[in-house]
Amino acid sequence: MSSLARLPLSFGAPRLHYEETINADPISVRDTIVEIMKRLQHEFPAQSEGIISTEIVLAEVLNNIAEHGYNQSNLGDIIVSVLCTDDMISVETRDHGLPMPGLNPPEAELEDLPVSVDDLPEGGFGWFFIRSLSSHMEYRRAASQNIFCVQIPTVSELATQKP
Amino acid sequence: MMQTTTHQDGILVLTLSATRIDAASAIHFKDDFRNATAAPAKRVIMDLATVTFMDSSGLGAMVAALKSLEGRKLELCNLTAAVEKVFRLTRMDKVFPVHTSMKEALAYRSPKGMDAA
Repeated sequence: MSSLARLPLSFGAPRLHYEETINADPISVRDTIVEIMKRLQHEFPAQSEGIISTEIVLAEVLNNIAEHGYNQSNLGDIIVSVLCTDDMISVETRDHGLPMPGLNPPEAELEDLPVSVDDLPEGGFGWFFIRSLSSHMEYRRAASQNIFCVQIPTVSELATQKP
Repeated sequence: MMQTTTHQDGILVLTLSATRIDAASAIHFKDDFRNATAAPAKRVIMDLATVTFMDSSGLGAMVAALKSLEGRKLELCNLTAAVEKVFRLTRMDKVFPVHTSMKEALAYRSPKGMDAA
């Protein structure tokens, strides 16, 4: 059974929108996101907060796997599944890349931006986006497989309340 | 990916044709930006109207682009909802001057003394 089924209940029957095995490289990741967004836009308004958040979270989750799990080798599979209900979009990924450090999704807080432009960060926003745009996430390592699930609310008080 | 137009008063306008600034295009974007801004210009304004999506790699590329200007500002206009969200969440909208339209960007005059700050 998919781990998505164990995530907190939300309204409406879950509908499967996407399930594919993709190659872990930036172009495949981009093509996959475009395809998933095309399907989700049949159900949710294109510019709604939940849809925008989902696209950002998808990109960060998939690119993290390609970059860190598979070390930018462009070799390796990711199984991507997307389910949604009326109020929630759930994304699940499975891959055989390296485990997350400490077997936990990295903490990520936004630090005060430095005064000097030269000191501005050019990365490290990925987990901050995933954490701040999702309502729930879960990571497991099972038999050399990483299983990661994340839920994004479609009617997002979460996102609109953040400063 | 990037078209340049030089306006009166030494304003360089960069118009993008890309729709996504992401992990797949970030390096290309940085190279294009350096080439496009090699000649000196008093102001640099980037029109992001075509960009419907930007991820953390894309945002990193924008920061790298800003740094390559060595002290000059990188002004932005016509942000789509997704791009606006990425800038707002990371508070980068406080680092890059953001204008709602190109017309507003071109008409903008920075308050006296702000350039020196």
